Amino acid sequence: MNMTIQTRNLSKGFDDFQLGPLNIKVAPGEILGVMGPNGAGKTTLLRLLWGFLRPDSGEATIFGLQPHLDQLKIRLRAGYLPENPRFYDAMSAMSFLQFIGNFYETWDRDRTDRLLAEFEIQSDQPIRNLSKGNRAKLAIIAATGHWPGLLILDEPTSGLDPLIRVDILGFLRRLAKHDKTSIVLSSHISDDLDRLADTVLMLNAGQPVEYAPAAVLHTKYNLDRLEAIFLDALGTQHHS
Amino acid sequence: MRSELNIIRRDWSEFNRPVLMLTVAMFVTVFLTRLSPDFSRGLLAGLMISAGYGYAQFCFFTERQRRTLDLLLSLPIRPQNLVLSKYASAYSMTLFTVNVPGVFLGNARELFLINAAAIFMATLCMTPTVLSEKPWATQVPIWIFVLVVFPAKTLLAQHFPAAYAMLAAAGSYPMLLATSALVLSPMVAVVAALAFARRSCS
Repeated sequence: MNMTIQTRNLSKGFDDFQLGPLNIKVAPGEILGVMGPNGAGKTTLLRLLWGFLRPDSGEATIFGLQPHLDQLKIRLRAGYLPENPRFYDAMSAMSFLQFIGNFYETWDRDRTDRLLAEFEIQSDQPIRNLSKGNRAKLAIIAATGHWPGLLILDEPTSGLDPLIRVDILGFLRRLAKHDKTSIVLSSHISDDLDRLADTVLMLNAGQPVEYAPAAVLHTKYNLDRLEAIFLDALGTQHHS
Repeated sequence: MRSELNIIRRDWSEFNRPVLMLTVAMFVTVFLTRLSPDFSRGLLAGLMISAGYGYAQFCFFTERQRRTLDLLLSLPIRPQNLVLSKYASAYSMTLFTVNVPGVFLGNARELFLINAAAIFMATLCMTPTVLSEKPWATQVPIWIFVLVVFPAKTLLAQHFPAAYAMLAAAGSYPMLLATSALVLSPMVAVVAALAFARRSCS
């Protein structure tokens, strides 16, 4: 099967931090949850995948292309949502989406209009008047209006109330199952990953603690929640 | 080209009000040249500096400051093309501010010189903000003028009269200087765009 994402010994280092080497694969329609405490390397991994960073060694391929070399081709087929999405606050939601849509030939205005209505976002209001939850939803619509084959989301539900989180997680689940969009989602709220992730990558201080399908992890540790599994895996690692 | 034009169009729609205000101020100054040529020349120079400085601030610095540059960098546009679009935005605003009122000067030579000076000023103010994230980056060219160029002129005149004479002689070829400034400006923009692109993926 053609993988959407494949990394081989991918690593990136900063002054006192080393991510990887990481070997991961994400298939079409698969949801990979990346979890770990602050400073674990989640954002670094996502920035490597989006081509913001160049790997020190190893490689990452997305749709068979290297993110830091083929940024443009990948971005036309993928969507990215940073941890704190930024907007032009004076613009209305509608004109913001129009601005973003002009970057893509495959932009589907009907789809974004439908999603605005579904998420109950007042599209004629300046973005500065939207609630935090609606801004998060708007950012997700902006990242998905061109029918991406891959969605990279950095803490998309951070700081949102539970009802909005449910809306967003439901939408992401639908994207993966119906549209076969691969999703890489980082979160420190393990509850989100419990509901959503098919496969989980657990990181601590840049190193993989576990990388396996969620179902396999549940069986292996005989625990229901990923957070408990993560703590157990960390403990096991410390003792060995 | 579609993405680049999209960025220029957005810049214009956000900053059309200050552009219009500066253009109106330029109009008034141009009509003042008929009453008091010397006073208006000083005013024209001041407006050119304000336009170059202001448009560099609008087009790039504000994007950095409110972190919307991160949004633009995550879109499908090459970083160097993004920066060049920003230069194009600033240049188009500058050319509009200078030329719409400038045609009423009725002096093609003078208008050419003003255009060259304004474009060069916009380039000088924009480039430090492209290359540096420091909030004071846009002020660098102004401080260079205030702290280095003006005192250097006096120092040269006092201690190196030959060098000062050469500088004064260059000043008597304004068309040549203006043409050089016009040729140099896009070259500086391209180099800054490439340097920015290099840094944006490290």
